[in-house]
Amino acid sequence: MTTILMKAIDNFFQCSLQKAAGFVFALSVSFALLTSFASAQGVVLRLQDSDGEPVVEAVMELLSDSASSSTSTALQEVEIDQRDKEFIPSVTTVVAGGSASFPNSDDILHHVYSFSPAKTFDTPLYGSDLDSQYREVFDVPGVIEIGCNIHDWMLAYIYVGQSELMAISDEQGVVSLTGMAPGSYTLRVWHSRLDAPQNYMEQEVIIEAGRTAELEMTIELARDRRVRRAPSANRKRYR
Amino acid sequence: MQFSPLIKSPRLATIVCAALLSSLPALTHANTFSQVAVSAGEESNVPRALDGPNEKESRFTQLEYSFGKLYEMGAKNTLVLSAAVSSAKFTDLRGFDRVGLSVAANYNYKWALGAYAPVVSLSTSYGVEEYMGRARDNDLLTVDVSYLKRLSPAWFLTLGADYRNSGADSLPFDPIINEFGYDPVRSLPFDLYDYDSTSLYADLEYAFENGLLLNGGYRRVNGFTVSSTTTPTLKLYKLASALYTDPAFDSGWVAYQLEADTNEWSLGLSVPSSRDSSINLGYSFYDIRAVGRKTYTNRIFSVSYVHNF
Repeated sequence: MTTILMKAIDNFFQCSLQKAAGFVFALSVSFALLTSFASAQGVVLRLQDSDGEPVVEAVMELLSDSASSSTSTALQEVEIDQRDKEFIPSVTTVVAGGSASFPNSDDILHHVYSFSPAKTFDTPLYGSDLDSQYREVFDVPGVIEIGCNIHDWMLAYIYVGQSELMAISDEQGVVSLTGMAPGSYTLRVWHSRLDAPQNYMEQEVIIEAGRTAELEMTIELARDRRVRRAPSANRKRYR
Repeated sequence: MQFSPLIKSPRLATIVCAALLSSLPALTHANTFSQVAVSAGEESNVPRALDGPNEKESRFTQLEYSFGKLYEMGAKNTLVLSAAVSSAKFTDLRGFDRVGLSVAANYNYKWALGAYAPVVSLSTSYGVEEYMGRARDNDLLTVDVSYLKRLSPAWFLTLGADYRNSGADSLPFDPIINEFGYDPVRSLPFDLYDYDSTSLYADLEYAFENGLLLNGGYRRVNGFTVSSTTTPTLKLYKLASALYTDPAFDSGWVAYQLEADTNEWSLGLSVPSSRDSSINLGYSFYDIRAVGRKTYTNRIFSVSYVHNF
C-alpha cells in the first residue's frame, strides 16, 4: 500500500509539472490514499470542502490511454429534465458520442443554450409539447454548461467523459467506481465550483487487481456561478 | 372614492387593447407570470410639506398584483406585456389612500445568450391612480430606457433614464381657493398632477453567497412636485404652477404644484424566504429642491414581501 501511495504522489507531482493546462493543485487541496482491500478492483473517493462539508455533484473520471477502458460501446442517451424552473439533475455525465435531451415538464416555456467550447447550441423557446424534438450530441470530451435564456438562475452541467469510467459524488461526498481493468490511470476530479483552472484536478493512480483504493480529498470551492432566483422588491421585473 | 371610467383616454384604450392582445395564445410562444407584493411602512412627510407643522407622517400598507406574458421573439429579443393593480392605505392620512391600475410593455434586447449578457430594455407604461378626491387623481405615462448588466454572480448594475407624463382630471373652479388669494386674471391651473418629468438613475446590487441581496440606488428627477400646506402665502402662490384645495384633508389645506429637482437615495436588503419569494427592507430618502429655494425632505421605510408565481 505504501508503494501505491508513494507512486501516486510521485506521479502527481511529475504530472503537475508536465501538464501546464488544466492541472493545478491548490495548496489547500490534499489527496490521501487510505486503504485498499481485496475485492473487485475499484476506487472510492471521499470529497470534502475546506469546511469539512461533503462535496456533492463532483465528477470523478478515470482516464487511460488504453482504448479498452471503455466498458461499453453503446452510445449513451441521457435526459436533463426542466421542472419547476430548474434543470434536474444539475450534473450529468455522458460518454463522448452520447446525447442528451431536455424534456420540459413545466407548463411554461424554456430556452436551453450552451456556449461552452465543448458544445455550443441553443434551442428555440419550447414547451412540453415540443420537448422531444431537441436532442444534442456531445462528441468532444469536456464540460458543457447549460442555461435557460429566460430563467437566468437555471444552470446545469454535462460532463462529457472519454469512457464510462466516471461517476458523480453523492450526498455524503462519496464517489466510487469498480470494474475497470487493472493498470495505471489518471484520476480526474471535476466540480463546477472547484477553485482550479477549468474546475478540475488530476492525479495518477494505479489500480491493482482485486483491490479497491480508498481516497480522501479536500478541495477549495469557489463561489457558485448560479444567480439568485428569488425576486426582490428592488427589481421586481420578470426574469 | 370616485372612480373614473377605465377608458378615459385614447392612450389608455390603445394600451388596454395591447394587453388584451397578449391573451391571444396563438400570437406566439409566451410564458405567463404573476407576482404579488405586500408591504407596510412609514412615510415621514406624506403631504410633501415645506414647513414643519404641515409635515404629516403616516404608516401605510400597500398591495400590488401584477401579471403578464413574456414573448420570446428571437434568441435576443423578448417582449413582456403586463398589467398591475395596486392599492395603498394610510393609517393616519386616509385622504392619501389610493388604488391604481396600469398596463406596461417592455422590450428587451440581449447582446448574447445567458445571464451575463448585457440587456437594453425599453419600457412604456400607462396607469391611472384614483384618490379620495379628484384633485389627486392622475394618469401616468412613462417611457423608460435602461441598461442592465450582471457583472458577476454577485454584482448587478442597472443604469437608466425615464420620462414621465402625468395628466390630471379637469377640475371645476373651487371657490374656497379665493380665500387663499386666488387671482382669476393669472388663471393658475387647477390640475395639480398635470406635468412631466425626466430622470436618470443607477442601481447596484450585491448578492451574498447565502442569497442575501443588498442594493443601493440613486435617482435624479427633473420635474415637478405636489405639496400641501395650511398656510399658502402670496410668494408661494406666485411660484406655484397649479393650485387647488387639497381633497386629502378635511379642510383648510391647499395643494400646489412646484417645479422641482429631486435627489432620491435608496437602500435595500432582500432576504429570500423561498425559491420564489423574499422579505425586503427598504429605505428611501428624498431631497426635494423646488423653485424659490424651497427645500424639503421625505423618508420612506418599508418592509415588503414579494412572491413570484
